Amino acid sequence: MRYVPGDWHGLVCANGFIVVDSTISSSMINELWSTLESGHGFTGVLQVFAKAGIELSSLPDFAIVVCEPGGYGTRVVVRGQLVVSGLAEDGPFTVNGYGATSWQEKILLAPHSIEVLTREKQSTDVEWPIQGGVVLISSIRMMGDQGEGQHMRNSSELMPISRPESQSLSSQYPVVQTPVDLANLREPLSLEPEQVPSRTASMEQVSPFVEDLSANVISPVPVQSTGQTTLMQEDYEPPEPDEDPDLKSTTYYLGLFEPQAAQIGNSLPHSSSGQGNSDDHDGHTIALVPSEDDDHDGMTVMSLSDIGSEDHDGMTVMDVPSFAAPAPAPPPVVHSSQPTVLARLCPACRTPNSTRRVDCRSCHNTLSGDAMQIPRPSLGQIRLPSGDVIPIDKPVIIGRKPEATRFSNSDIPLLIGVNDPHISSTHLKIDLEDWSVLVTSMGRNGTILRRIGQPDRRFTKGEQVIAQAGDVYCLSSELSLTVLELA
Amino acid sequence: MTTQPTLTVAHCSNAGHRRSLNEDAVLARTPVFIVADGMGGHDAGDRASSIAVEEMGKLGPYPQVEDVRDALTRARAGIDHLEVTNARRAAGTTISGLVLVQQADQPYWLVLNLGDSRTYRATKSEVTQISVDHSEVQEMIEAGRLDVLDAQNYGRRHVITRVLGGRTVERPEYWLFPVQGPERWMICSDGLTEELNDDVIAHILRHETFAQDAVNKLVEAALEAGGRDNISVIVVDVKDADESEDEETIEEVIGDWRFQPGRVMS
Repeated sequence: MRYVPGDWHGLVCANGFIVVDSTISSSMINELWSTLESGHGFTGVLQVFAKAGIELSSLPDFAIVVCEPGGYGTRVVVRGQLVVSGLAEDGPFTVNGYGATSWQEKILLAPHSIEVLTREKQSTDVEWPIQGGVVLISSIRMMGDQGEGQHMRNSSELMPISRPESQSLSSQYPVVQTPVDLANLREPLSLEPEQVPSRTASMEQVSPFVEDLSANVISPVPVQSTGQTTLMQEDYEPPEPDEDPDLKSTTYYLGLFEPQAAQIGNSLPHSSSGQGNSDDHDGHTIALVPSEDDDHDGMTVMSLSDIGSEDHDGMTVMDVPSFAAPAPAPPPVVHSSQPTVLARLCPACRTPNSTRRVDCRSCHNTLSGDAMQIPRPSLGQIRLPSGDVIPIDKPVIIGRKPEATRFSNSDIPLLIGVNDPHISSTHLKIDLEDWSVLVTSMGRNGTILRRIGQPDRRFTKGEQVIAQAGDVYCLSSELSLTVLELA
Repeated sequence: MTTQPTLTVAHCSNAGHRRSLNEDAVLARTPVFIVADGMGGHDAGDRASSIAVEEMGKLGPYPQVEDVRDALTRARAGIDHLEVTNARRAAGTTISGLVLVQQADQPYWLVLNLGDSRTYRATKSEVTQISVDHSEVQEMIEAGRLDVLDAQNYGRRHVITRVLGGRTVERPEYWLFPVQGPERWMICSDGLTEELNDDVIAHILRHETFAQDAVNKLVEAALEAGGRDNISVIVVDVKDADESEDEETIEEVIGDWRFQPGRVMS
């Protein structure tokens, strides 16, 4: 974890971290810390606010990144003037608190990196590492790298990572795994409550001259001196891909990369460490830095591939200060409008399952544990009249000349045109609702449903049925649609 | 691939009689035909609509709906950034229009809308407003609390409920239509619809044969009626595939579209 100093409270512990605006009282900071520590997840945080009698409408701005109890992923909750972005299992994500009346939230199953940005203008170029504690921040980020992380499975082992081909600072500091395991921490590391630093204490500890690797709570070290910063900036020349003169403009906001940047691939990892040299940024600079192919400059700092590994010892360890967070070049934009469903993850194979199921649809293990909201997985497969088999992950509209009316970012349909004069221009629509697949007949002639164990049935315009595996929907005498499997 | 229609495009953007600054921005080249009407203090509105048009202009020739969605998100991010650096009134823009997208190898018109700029579709039989305004007045009409006839006199008719930028997560609405001629699409900012009612608009769209004439007539009529706001209009004519002698592919359509720059009237 690293943070840039500022005016927001940053609470960091092994279970996750909270950024909250500085208007809230120090006693509440302590309460929030305790609940974060105790592993009660977001529910615990809400209870703190509720106990203090804070109404929904007057909640402070906050960003919460917390392991959910039971190891069911990491919940990101954002309210107000904060943005959380990063790289998760399925690509980059952004959760933006703006405009939400309550908050925005997202579940990540295996986040690689997470960054919380406040709207605060950053006045300093420094970025400090933090392993736990309460500090005043303007941004904070957690990084991980699966590949490199394999080297650092043993967290008690200090591993210097050299970077001979560059003058990077990373060669001067040891790298060890930090015990912050945001992806999946079944047994929260416990810090004794009395070791919880008060705000004042932690402020004192944020001294560039304190370096205490054995401290259990917070271990700031000098990340970079001015001289080193200069050296770094002079030393590297950012690549100027001639095919994209606009590339620099991709750095302007919250890591939302343009597709051109993504296409350049791993040569463009990004960092938001705030030491960029642009003058007009407001602390959100996403600096593009060069790297050598896939080796990430030797600056791997956190292993998230150690999910569930048993060898955490809870000892305080330190990230190497780095200028560049190694991260694969993300695809352009990720939307918080992605639909979610309430699911139970299989304890054995982690397949998400409908809450209606008692056994896993994949491995048939008995399901247990709490249900959680997750991005909606594919709900099955259908065979189109063309013979193509497609996943049921978005609405499908089939017809001779299909139209779609008034949809939003969260339900972008797939339109399938079929060439058969007996089929209506918009004939059949497949919708996804929760875990159910709904089929609506839209055409004038209706649709014949051939269902296993039942006589054929014609359903007419506007009629809707809940699909079952094996259903055949006959659009005409020639063309049909088959539901191959359902979640 | 079946035969594909060809497109004829005309557009015009006019500051109007009352305003010195034109905060509208127009993009009318394949595959994007959009009008953006910016708002915000100082020149923020101007810059917001420009950012929207610029981001949409980066779309390649065969975008998916998701690409359009992402372009809108990037535009919103850019506009929000603009707002932050200026630290003035929230900048934002409406956006409405068409993007020629492809799904399962077929071309479709993606109609998109955020705010109260509009997209109309004229076929042989009728002229239809496809987009639904994101405005307070529209929401009141839909809720049955305001009569359509009273809407013109409703004081807060310029209040929009969704915008690209303005520190909000963008919530665009979309429609998809197969590309098939003959049909005519008209996209405009509220500077046009504020001055002309739907009957006048429909009459001009029906009776002008050429896209450029339709654009000119619409803008002239709006200026005559007062021209109180910036007026931007795009007309896209889709020629029926069956009328074309050649078997054309979508590539040829895109290579063959004829751009007629709008006459700037000031």
